[in-house]
Amino acid sequence: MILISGAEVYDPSEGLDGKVHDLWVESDRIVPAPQHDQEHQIIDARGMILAPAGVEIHSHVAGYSLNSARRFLAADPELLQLLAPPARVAAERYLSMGYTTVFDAASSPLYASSTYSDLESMTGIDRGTYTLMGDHLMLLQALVRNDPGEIRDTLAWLLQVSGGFAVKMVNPGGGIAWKANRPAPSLDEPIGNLNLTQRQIIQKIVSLVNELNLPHPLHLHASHLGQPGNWSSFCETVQALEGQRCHLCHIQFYSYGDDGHGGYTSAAEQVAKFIEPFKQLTFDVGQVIFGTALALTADTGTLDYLRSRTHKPWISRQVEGEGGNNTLPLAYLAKDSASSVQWATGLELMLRFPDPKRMFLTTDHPNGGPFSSYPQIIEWLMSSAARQEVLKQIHPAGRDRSGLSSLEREYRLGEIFMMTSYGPAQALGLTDRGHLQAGGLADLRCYRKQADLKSMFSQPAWVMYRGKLVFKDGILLDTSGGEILVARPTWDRERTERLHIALSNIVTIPPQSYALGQEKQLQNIQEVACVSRMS
Amino acid sequence: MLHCTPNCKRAEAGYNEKPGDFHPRDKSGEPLDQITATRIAAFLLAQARSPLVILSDEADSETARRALSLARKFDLALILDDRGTRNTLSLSMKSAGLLTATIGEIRASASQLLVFDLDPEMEMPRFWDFMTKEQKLGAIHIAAANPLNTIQTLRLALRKNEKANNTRWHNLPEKITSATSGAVLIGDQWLRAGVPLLTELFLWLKELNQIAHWYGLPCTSGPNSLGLSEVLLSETGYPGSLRFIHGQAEYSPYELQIELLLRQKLVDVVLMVGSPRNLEPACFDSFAQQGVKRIQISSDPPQGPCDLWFPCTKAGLDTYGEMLRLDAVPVHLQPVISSERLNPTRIISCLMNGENE
Repeated sequence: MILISGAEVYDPSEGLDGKVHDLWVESDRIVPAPQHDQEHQIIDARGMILAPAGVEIHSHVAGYSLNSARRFLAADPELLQLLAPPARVAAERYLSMGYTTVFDAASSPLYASSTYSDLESMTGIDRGTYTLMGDHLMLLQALVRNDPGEIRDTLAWLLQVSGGFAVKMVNPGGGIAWKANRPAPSLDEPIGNLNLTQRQIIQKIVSLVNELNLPHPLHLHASHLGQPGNWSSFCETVQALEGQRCHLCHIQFYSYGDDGHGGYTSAAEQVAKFIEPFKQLTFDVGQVIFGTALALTADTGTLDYLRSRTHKPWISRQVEGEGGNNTLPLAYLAKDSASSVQWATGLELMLRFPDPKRMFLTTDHPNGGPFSSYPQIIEWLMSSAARQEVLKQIHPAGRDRSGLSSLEREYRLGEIFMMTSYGPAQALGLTDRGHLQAGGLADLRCYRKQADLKSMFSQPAWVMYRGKLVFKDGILLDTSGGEILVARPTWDRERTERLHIALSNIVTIPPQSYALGQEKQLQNIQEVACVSRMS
Repeated sequence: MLHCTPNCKRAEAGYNEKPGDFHPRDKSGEPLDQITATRIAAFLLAQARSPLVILSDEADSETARRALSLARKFDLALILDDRGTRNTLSLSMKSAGLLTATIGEIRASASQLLVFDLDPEMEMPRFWDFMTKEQKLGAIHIAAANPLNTIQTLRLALRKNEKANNTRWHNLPEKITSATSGAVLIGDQWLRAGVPLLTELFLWLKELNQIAHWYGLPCTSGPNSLGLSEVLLSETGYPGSLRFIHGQAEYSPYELQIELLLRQKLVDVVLMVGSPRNLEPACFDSFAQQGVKRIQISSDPPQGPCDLWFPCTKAGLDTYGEMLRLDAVPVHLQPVISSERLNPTRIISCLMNGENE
């Protein structure tokens, strides 16, 4: 047994906010204090802050789609390591920041094996990936035929053969529309040549994912990403979900008003007010950081639009039977009006939204900037003065076209742990982590108390994974642990042959070779049960 | 005798190869036991001052990963046996970008193909059949003595929307503008012609995309040429030409070229993973002249003098393996025959971790 003694403990699940008390760990779990004397090791944590380890809900860290990004950065090794490090390095960096669970945000079924090679190398943490389905022709064709059994089995089969943890949809149908040279679909327009609208796709899939009791609900990247004035279409999408459980990602990129000349204003206030009452919805922010970034997305239409506006080269691969994967180098400049508004919008959104259990900290790495910026963002959230200092230095649009300068709210530590541990863990259906209750996993992070919040969050004093110290005083001690988390909803095996036939019509490799292939021996897999998580 | 369905003579020839003996061989062709051979190879690598790994495109992706680990562990330099193609591609993509697509996507959407310095009927007959037989895609072949001049001619004609000043392609602008979507297939020769030329071609492709979706598909020959560089990119951030220093990869696309290294006498031991297909014969002469020790792990016997040869399995013949097609689609290969040969990943692991792996 291990006794962690004397720390100021933060348990977002129980509203425990800095109370000094002991925490007991046995094997890989948190346990109640023993009734009788037992041999134990003591970790002296006096003067320290103890919290559940971080849980990353949305970060692009695995798969060959990152390789296109790497091509843009080959001449700058530092930037390469920051924005598109090898998956193994990304995992180590997360661990040394106190995160022990990380989800890659998007994996194409056709390229699932490349994502898996990367996931296998990300030892030391629990990790997983979301399977892209929003432009998958098999699923869209099943939706057109409107046979509930076929839709269910197609989705469950795709998730299983791709080794996914959740269903990801990126601007559903948008990739098909782009390939057909059609404008980006709005909610109620038919997509390409399909007799199907985005609203129908979203509504059917969000319901189905919830019926299947997948741990994580539909992970949705909505339409019109990054466009001035997009907040209203985003709210329409939220409305279309009809209160069902769903996660909407990097919503900073959907919280823009229009200044009347095609420029950005922040619509964070309107968005925060609109989404708050939908209690079954969770969000991550996608905060922008000043500096170089990389757009990395399956949203081909958006990247094509951005490419035409920035005149920068993009690398885009269009995939048979699916959408595409696309990369474009970006820079968010402090002296640029658009970048400044984007920066302010993200912070404003987090500060205006009252419930950190449903609004999570991300940068949509590397789209908004590197995940290693989290300590800096936390400082901005916890210190109004730190925000005001930046507002003085950036383009005045950041102040004038957002409401950030008027916000005095400062996040409390407990709220930071809520939005980086408990909240995302709950949204992911991982009820065994993100809290310090007895029975929970002993995945912990411990910080030395410092006035400099950025410095404090940059490096924990130590990190524990499953009851073992894996990082201490700047040194990684053990990266041998970690599991790949998958979800495997049931489906009708008798439909396999029909699924294979449908697949054969849209891809050029045999069904047995599709996605992970039949021969792929998956290592360190942990299947997370598909059971109801509705409270 | 194994037969392929659908019929493919090239594949049949490969499948009906008889895997040879599994014993390693020394310079004189004498068999060695595995432990002795591994010890000798490990000794040669450990003693080397400038060891070099050359990764051939017959290696599957897992073998490439293992070879990379070896290079990282022992601070070796590693290059691809591809005449610099992957570096050229990568640098050109960085400068000009590239819209590409998988073969299935091209077949589904393109109405016109432009084929640059490639004879797909000869070099990739199954692919060509697949692309053109049922779809009746129009295909225009462009083989150019002066590639830069060719691109400029085509660009100019297209910009002016007039017939090209070249009788061979005078209808090309019209065909391009009337295509609903198209693809430009780029052969090895263009890919090897250097960064400026390939960048020009990609810039032209960019212009074509103002008309309709035009995809560029670099058609490198070799079974897993793309797969190797994707593995390297994924594991190090770089597409090839790496030097490891204290386990950290350094990218040197201009310095780490085999001809240059040999000219400067900067190689004393070379470990070839897979049979090199693209090395100039002069390189083998230089190995011999400079006394470069050569170790090879390959399914086929080495060409030229080799100090130590480890026969190994070949993915798709007598072992499993994953390779990437030229459009980056992963293909999971399965064995069609059994053999006693060792898997290359196991041989490399033995070199890394001692013979008892």
